[in-house]
Amino acid sequence: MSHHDAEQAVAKDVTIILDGKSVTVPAGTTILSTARANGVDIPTLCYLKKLNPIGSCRICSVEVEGLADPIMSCVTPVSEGMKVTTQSDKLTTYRQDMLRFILTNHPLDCPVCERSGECQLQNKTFEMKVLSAFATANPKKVPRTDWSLLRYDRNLCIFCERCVKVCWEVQGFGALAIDGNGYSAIIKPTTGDRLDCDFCGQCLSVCPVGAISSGVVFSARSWEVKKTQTVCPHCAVGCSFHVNTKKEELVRITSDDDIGVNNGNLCARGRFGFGFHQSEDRLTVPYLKSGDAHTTVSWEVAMSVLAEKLGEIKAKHGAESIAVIGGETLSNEDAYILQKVIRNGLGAETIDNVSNMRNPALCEGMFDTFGASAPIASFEQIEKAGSFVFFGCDAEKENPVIGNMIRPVMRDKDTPLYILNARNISFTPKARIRARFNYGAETALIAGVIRALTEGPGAVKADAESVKSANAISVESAARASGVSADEIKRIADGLKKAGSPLIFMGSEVCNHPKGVEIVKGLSNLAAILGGKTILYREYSNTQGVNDMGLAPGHLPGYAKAQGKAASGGDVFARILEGKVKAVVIAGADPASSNADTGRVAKALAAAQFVAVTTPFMTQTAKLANLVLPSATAVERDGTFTNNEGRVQLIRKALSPKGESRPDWVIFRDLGRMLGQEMHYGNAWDILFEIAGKVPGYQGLTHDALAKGGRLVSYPNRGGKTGGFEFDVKPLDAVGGDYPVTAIVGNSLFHLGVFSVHCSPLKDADASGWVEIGAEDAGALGLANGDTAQVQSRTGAIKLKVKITKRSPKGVVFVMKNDENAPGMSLAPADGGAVFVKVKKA
Amino acid sequence: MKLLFSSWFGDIVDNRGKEPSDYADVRGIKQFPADFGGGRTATAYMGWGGIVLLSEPYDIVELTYEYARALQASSCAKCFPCRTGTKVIEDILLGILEGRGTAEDLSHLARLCDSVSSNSKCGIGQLGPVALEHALKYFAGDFAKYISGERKRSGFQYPWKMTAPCTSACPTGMDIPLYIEYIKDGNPAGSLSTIREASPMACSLGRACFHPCENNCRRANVDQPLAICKLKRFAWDYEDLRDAEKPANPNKHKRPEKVAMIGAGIASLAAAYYLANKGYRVTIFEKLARSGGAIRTGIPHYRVPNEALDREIAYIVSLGVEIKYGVHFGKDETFKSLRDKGYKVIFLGTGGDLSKKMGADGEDAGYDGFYNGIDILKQVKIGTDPVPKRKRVLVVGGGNTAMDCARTFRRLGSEVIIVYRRTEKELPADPHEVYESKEEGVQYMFLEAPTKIIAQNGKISGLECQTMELGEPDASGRRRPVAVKGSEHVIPADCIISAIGQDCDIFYLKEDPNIKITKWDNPVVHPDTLQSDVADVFAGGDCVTGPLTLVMATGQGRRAAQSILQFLEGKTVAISDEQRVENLIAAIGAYDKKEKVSMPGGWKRQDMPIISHDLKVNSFEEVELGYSQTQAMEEAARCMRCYIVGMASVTSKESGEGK
Repeated sequence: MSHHDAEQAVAKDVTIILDGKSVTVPAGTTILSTARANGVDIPTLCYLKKLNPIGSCRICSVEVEGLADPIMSCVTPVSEGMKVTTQSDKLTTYRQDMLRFILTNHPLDCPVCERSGECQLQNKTFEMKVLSAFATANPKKVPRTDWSLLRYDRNLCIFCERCVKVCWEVQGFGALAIDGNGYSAIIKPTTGDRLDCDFCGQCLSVCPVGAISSGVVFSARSWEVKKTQTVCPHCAVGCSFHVNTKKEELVRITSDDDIGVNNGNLCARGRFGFGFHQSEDRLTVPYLKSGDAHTTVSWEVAMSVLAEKLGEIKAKHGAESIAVIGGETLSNEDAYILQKVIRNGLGAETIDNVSNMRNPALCEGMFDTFGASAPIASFEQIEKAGSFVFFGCDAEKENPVIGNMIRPVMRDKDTPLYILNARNISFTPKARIRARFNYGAETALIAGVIRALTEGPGAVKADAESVKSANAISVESAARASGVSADEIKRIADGLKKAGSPLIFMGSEVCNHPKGVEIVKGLSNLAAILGGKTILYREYSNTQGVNDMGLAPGHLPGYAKAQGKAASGGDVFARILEGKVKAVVIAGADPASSNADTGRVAKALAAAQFVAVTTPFMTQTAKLANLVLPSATAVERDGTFTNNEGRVQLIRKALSPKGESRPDWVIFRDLGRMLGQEMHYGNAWDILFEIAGKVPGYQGLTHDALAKGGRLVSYPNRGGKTGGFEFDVKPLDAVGGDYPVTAIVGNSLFHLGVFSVHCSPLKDADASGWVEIGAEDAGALGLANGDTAQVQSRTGAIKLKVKITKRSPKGVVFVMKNDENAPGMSLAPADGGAVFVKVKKA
Repeated sequence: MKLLFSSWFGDIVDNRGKEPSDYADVRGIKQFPADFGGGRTATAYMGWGGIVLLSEPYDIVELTYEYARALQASSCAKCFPCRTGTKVIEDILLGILEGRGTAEDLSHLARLCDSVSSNSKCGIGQLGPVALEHALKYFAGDFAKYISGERKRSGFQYPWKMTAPCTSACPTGMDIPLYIEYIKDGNPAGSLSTIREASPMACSLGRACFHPCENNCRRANVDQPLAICKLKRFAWDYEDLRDAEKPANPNKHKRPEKVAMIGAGIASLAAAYYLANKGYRVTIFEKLARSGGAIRTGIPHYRVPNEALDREIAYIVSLGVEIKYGVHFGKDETFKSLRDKGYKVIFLGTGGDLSKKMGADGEDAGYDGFYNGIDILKQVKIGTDPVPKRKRVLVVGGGNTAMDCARTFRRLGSEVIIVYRRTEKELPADPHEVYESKEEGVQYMFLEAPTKIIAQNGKISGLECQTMELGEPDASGRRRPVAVKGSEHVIPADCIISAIGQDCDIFYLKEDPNIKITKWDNPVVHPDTLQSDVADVFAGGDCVTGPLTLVMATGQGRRAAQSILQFLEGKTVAISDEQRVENLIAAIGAYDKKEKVSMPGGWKRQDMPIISHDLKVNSFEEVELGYSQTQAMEEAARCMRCYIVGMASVTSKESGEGK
């Protein structure tokens, strides 16, 4: 029987007698799932839906006719005719015994235990009326262990193994394991004495007792906190979580397996990256620059300066002299109002956002470039995919929760993974093939794979358009250009063909690539040929949304072409330096740290007549601004974010804005009113109402509907035919010469822009800027781990800590983007070209 | 055998208070290897099946406490009742042992034993308390004496070993439940590293092992045995075929001592792996141009592809092993020449590659169309000369070599008939191989013994055979075939393959008369240490055991490596107490086919995906495709983790006391 047949044969139904009633379920279903599906309650303690059943607590026991001993319902599949009893005196005694075993020597620290009130052991003990433990003669207290962002108390640990399993099955790390045997066993890091992991805190979230607690000490009792469901402010996955507040203090973030797209998974940024909201560094009042120094002013003064200055400059130099740059963490409502005020109130059309400035064809121009084939499939495709392809993405570091979604699917469906990257990026579970290509030869490699798929015996039938560009190159020449052998290209093609319908993930390496659009076109063709889909990783929580809202020069909300005054996109900073743009409004962005050639950005901002910034922090950009307006963070306002699959989700206000800070939409609404526009919006939902009425794709969204769960935007022709693009298969010209090393600039697992650097746990986990370099290059340069290296490009030079790693091949380094003092983007040329550097010991 | 007491597998024989001559027989137990070296002897044994007493002196209460302690030390801590329950039991028993016990303790113990054994995750918790319950039940008087303060601790020794029925049946002693659990947990790398602790040959074993483990799998008492063998292949393939790094050898060549191994077969490769990982410099001398021994030459490509074997051996070589090809030991190199070159140890792993004679007239006549099984398999697999096309092939023999020859010639387009002198029931080949051969169209003629090869002009035209019938059982327990007089008849054929067994070619031993030779032409070595009478010469694999299994050879390779290590480190070459307990466990029996296991059945073993029938018969492509990860995890979840602890009570002969 072939594997295929075996899978077909599994889909049979099985009938069992459950507590006297006949029930039918698909073969392979466990007794526990059968019971739950039929409304029969069997108590559990270690069981967790997203994990393979563990079977450690032995509380879910049931009796099966004909068997002497009870069996565990979580790990036992049903078999035909099985007669199961879920409640009996014998079972009750045994179940109570299991708790008695666990309560043996379990400290009665409930009054001081962080988990008190939400402890599952406490609940089960009460529920099952257990009044005593099996006393043992030798209680041994073990001191609590400090694991950096986490803490472990062996005395409270019940060895349910949830932490161990979640770390392996969902996070793919395997940082924890049971060490030792029997009663003296302990949960221990596999990384040595110190826990050195992703610090996603999945272990913390699944611990049923107080054994694993947060390194950020919980300063409230569980019954004192108010939980507000909202969406993570960091990256573009759009994970839902609960903001836990005690009065006006944010005390922790908790996850919930039943809300949002993330199935209770969060990364370190999501779980521990909340300190910035209430950081001492937050701006609480407006500042106005007089001379070289900023002085505090009232909002009244600040707003009138803003309105007057913009009015003045418009009157004198025309609307073209005003530019707006928006950040990608603005909510849809912020972005919508901002562009509306600037377009309608000032008549300006120089409106942009940071990622669009870098790659307009993948942002505002996405639907012009790709039409129906826009590379934004929804996460639902993960379950349906025949295979996964990571192309230029580091799934363990950027948008890490997507990795959490993929792993259980690989576990349960054996979906094969292929990794293609310019660096040696790995993933757990392991890829079928990991191919490292020469940076710049991406499109040649894609063409090679398409060729291998569509020629020779067993060729896949493909439409002529999808294959056309690939035909310009042979598999062999693709191999020569990319450094991936012809044999390997053929094996990749063969594997993708066998599995069918690939889901191709394109990471920041693609988005930031000089040939990013060509790569996405090529991969869209590849997906199309095999009936697959693509997902483009986005950097920030609302990168997709701010583009959808028309925070872009050529497009109005919903990607309608901007009429009349020609769209004046391109390089805002060049036009400031040319003297064409005199005033810049920057909302929720820090281009002096995050745009290419940060040195030139700073020069431009210094040269502008008037720079106004809304920001929660005194960023590099804010320091150069004339007017600094304190803005509220994501937990201090209502609104919506649109994630990287185009799903609109609610963000909810859990705290009052810090000090006098205000949500951006309030600031720009007020500006609109001062400019004489009618701005009737009393709250964010009024704006959402207008968006739902006016923005194509967002029609019909309501607050009440979104409150029940996110909704996918209906982009033009979403889900239509994909592929069929011409793309350029020519490899990038290497620059070489004085700058022989290719630098890939990206985010670290712990840092993503201005928010994370104001979160002390994330600073503790990843303190300063670093450069990843291969052992061979490091050796040649005399660099050791922890040394400081100077990394220099044509545009700038920064000092970074050296990390020697297998991830960087010879001639390629990876530079952390978000160090405050050493911004990686200072190395990037303003024209969007590749980053070439030289490295030396500092 | 005659024992003082046994409750093994619930069969109670109590001879206490009787004269040894009146002892009732314990039928289930055939031997009790009591010698523990150094004048020590085992008098009692406690395990999952109960208690076995050989003789006085013994101390049941002390043994029970030590056994509970061993259970606690073996507990993986992955379920509540075993982790804590065995600790509570241990503590109560300690109290009794130290004179603090009460009568209530005994009833409390019985209650705890029931709760632990009824609810635990695996054998340690489920089966361990059985022996404790037997102790409480059949030795209540002994406990009463401790509680009343009459008796004090005896201070015997209690060596023990944690094993499992499958593990105990495996010549490598592989921790099978653990490697399967790793697969269940989605961690094939952890699985492979567990496998490698017992054998570096997961690729070959996972494809072509005789798998005695599966014949001792307790899951068979419920439905079907686990696919232990094929799960091993999954663990190997995962590392081999995916983006996974192979573990490096941090000790590579850190030690100056050189070790020579003769024959690049399974035993040498296994021994080389362990010694190289300890930093020793191993050189293997191979007379052929290819490594892999019997796997390379005897197992057809469709079972173990050459490329897969190449990668398996390449990894072992990468750890710091050198293979010198075309070196014929006894001619090109000798014991003396190797010692002169500074080799501190010589390991003989020369296998058995001489075909046994089938005793038919004309088998040495050099007829065209006559082959020895292992020679023709070698020629097909790695030979340069093509094998001429044959129309009708008779394969004489019923073992795995016969199956390999038959299936190979089916692929070469011949009609193939296996000629075997007993019946199908006695076929020694792996039943799976027999099944596959029939699937592929191999025919069988049973109860036929060859007497003469018929040839015309030097070309074979048929085989004269006698019809046999089965008589009395022989030493192997199989019924001996007896010829029917006057039943000679000729089976027409143009090719005859003799595949009835192999002998060892040990001419090189003539050089050193101090190494004794058995009557089957094998070097004599200590059965446990594999050291010969010459201290620096060790031997293992088929050249010691006669043609046996891959798994026996790799197990012996590992055993030899342990002994060689002791020798190189200047220690006494001897087996440990733990290994003695292992032998005791194996002798008493780790698996009870009749045990009624409290587990619902009906969870079917995963089907192995295979290539199409067309490809099977018309090519040498590997037949089995291997499990997908989903299949492997599902199959692994069927494992019941039948871990068990066996413990001996050991006393010194002279004093009756432990040391």
